[in-house]
Amino acid sequence: MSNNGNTKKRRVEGGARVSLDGAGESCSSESAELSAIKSMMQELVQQNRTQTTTILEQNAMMQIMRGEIKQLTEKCDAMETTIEKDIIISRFDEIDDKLNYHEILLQNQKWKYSAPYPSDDYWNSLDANERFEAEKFLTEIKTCSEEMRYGTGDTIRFSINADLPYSEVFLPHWKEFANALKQYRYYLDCAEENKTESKYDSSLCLWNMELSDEVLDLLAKALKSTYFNRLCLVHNSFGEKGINFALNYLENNHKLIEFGLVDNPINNMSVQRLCEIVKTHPSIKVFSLNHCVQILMDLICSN
Amino acid sequence: MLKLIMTSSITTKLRSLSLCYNDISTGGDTFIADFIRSNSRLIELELDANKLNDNDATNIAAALKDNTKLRTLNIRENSVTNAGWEALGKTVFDKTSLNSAADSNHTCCIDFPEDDNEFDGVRKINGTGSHSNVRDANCFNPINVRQKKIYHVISSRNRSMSNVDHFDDDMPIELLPDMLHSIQKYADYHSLADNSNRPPPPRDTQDVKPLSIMFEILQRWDKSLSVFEALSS
Repeated sequence: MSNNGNTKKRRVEGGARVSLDGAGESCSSESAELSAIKSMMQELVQQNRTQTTTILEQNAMMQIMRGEIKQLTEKCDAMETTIEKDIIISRFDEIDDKLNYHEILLQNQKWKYSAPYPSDDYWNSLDANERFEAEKFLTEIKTCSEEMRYGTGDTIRFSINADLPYSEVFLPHWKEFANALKQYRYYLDCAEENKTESKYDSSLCLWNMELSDEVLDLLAKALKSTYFNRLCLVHNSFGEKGINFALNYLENNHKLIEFGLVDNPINNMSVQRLCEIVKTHPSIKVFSLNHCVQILMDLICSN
Repeated sequence: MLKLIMTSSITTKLRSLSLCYNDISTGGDTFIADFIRSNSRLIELELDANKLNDNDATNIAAALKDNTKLRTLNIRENSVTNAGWEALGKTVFDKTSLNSAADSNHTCCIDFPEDDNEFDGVRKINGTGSHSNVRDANCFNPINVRQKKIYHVISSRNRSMSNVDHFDDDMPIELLPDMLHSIQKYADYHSLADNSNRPPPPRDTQDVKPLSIMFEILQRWDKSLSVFEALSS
């Protein structure tokens, strides 16, 4: 019995031991699971922390960007205001130019071409051909001056062509022409503002007549703010002063599209200056320098 | 002087440069050719009455192959002889093969000497020079000029009925359908006015009618077919 009892006890103990062992296994697996869950939780927490940090950083960046956008919007508003202001100013300038031009046109209604007709002495000193050229020159310079003053010309192209040496008797005519050119700037400004591609094309061509130093001075002053699109100077028998006049006009007139210097001798230094101007000129497209170097060579050879 | 001006002009907006009667000579320098090769915006170059020679003309001719902007080149009254003009003529229209015609310069109109009949065929092929005007420049279409040249070669071959003979060397037979299509297109191009109400461009009087070319190809269809079959097998 006692044996049985012992056995039973042992069995119970054994059984208890067995059942205790089972409980130990399940405990350890649970703790493993728990630690896995714990580490997973820790990972999740870590991930959450990282995400939170990222979100916070992004949020900070958003704040900065918002600030920048706000600044940009303010700048845009300011620029819009400036642009509007500029538009208003330019519109005002346009109206101002038109007013000036119409005012001048009104004033010019009383204006008369007053350069005196050359005396008989002058005419008697000329041969038939020279007389013809002189008459032609006087007619052309008067027509051009009147068209500029009265605004009656169909085009804004002024061309004077007469094969004529310079004479003092022409100086008053050149003065009239120069004064008309000076005023003509208002017309050109208005024409440019209202330009349509086909219509607006202003040019000044002086062919064959000799331009003295005095005439060049007059033209230089008159053309200081009168910007034609095209300038063509052909066979004007002027020296370095004439070349400088032409180059200065090219340099200062940023609306010039065509520049022609034909049959007027030019030296290498002026060519160099010409190239420098052409290189940086914003609008020049057509450039003629015909028959300029050969004449220079001829001149050098003849001297 | 010219070198200085041209070097300055490469980077500018200059469209027309006229330097006639200036005794300009290059002394073997290739700056004119280099300037043309740079394909600057220049559309008109006038160098009449200077001292350019055949060597300059040949260099210019070679440079023109790389230029698609220049519309007018005037170099008359220089020391250019027939050899120089021939080189320039070949650049504008090389009739040797369809490929050479297609690879010619289609934009530049050269003012060839009028007293020489040899250049009659190429004188107006790239236009008459009026398109050098800045305003007319937009109306000018080099693709039409190219088509015209190709058609001209086919047309001259048609006179000797030799188009089919060139299937072996110059024109791959596989392109025959495209060629027939192009010929038909060319015929339409000359018979119909475009939408702008402008009259259609006149067909070159030296060219044969498109139907004549069709007839030649169909008449010698056996030869065409044999080449085609030989290629297919």
